[in-house]
Amino acid sequence: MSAERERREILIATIADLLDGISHVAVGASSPIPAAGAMLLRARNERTGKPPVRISILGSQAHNFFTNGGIELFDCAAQGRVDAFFLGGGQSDGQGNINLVGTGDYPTGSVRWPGSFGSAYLYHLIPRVILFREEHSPRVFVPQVDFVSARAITPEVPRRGGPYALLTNMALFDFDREAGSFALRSVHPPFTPADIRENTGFAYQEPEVVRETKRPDAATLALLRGRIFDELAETYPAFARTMMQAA
Amino acid sequence: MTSALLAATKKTSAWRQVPAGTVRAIGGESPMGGAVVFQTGFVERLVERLARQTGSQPICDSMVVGRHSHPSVAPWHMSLTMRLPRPVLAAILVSLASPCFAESSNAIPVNSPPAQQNSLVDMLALMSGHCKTLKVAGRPYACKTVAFAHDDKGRVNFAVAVDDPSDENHVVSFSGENGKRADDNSYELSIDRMLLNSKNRPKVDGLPVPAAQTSIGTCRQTGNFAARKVNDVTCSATDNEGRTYELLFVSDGKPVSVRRIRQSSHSIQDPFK
Repeated sequence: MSAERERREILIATIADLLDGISHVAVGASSPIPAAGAMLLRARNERTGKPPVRISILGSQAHNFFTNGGIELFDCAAQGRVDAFFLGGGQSDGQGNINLVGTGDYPTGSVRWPGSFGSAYLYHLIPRVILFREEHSPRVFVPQVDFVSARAITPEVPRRGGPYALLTNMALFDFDREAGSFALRSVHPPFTPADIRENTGFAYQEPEVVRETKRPDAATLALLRGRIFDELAETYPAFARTMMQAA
Repeated sequence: MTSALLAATKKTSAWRQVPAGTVRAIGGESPMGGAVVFQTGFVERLVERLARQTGSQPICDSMVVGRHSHPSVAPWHMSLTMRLPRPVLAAILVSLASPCFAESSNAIPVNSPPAQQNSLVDMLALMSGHCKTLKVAGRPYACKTVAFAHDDKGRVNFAVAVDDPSDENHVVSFSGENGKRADDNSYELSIDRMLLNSKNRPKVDGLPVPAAQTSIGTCRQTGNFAARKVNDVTCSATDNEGRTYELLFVSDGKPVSVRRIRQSSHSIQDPFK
């Protein structure tokens, strides 16, 4: 469990780093790790005197200023008042497209997922969309998605939103919007660049020297294991309890 | 896997394309565009403009050297007028990147004197890529360009031309001495001052002279100028007023443009020793 806790803590701290500089981040449902990352950023900014961060965690009473759920989130995004958001997908490809519908030929595919919902809309509007998917495998990261729920790049349509990074259990990628492709930024311990190559179904850029993803320092861990998991327990009690028990 | 760096198995270029599928090692230049900060001919225009200002001839590409202190090509026309005064460098970077000087700006208040002007840049490296993070006094900015400048006293500046619509002369430099290389691909510089330039600074020869703000911080560069490959530069510093400065620059894979402007003495801290 210790390794699992450490893995999650690296992801949370990495998300906080990726969000650095934003004013408002929204987190969708069933996303405890992104929510914890947003809370960590908020707490860190408070401690260091940086500008405050507003976080909107769907499903939370305490950490959400919306009173009408997703409708307000969509309005807020269209007004340019949401700086960052998280999207995942049953499949993602090397062009940053995501598939939330299912595998195979639509509509006769054998696997069906929840659906695109507002992913395409938010992908166009929110400048810093972080693609977050814990499972890092060739079945998730495919050369081309079977169904495009949300396109990352639309040269024919001007947009301010789009993917910023891809974070998985194994690695962190940057997304280059001009090139329309991912570049490996760092690899989480204990994985190696070879592990990433083996488990990624799409093409990407790899630097000659690949960094190891930074581990959270002692102060960050103290903040996480104290205030952050306490705050998180309101929305994600089971996750917070598991993390605190492991600490 | 305790090492901070995970060396890739094949070292043929700064970036390589990993194709879809399993382990396959293919060399090649990155097609990544990113926010390209240097236009074609940027360096040439920079030195030409400098030469015009100093009355000298342009510095020629034949002066470019690699890792060694002794140029592989004879440094002809190595006149005094071709030296780059360090404080002028940052202003030049911006003035060439954006020739417009008309708008007003809100400069960061500084309580330090202008940076000393008695040192000369002897080596300049221009890196192509984009700033994932740039914060000046805690405020996020985009950047236009990032340069590494080494002067004849051993001081190194990571100069960042800030993409600030309100100030075309906005340049911040992370400045320090005693840079060290942990290995061929890792360079670390302790920051002891920030050089802050804006269009409101006093001018010398028509170019604003930056203020030096005592600071504490670190810059880390991954890559190797000798191989003309830099992957990224991360800097973090806090000045004596409590303002924070952060930089995460990521290369787009294009080779670094290294210019040795004048021959300098050997220095063990010099990453090009």
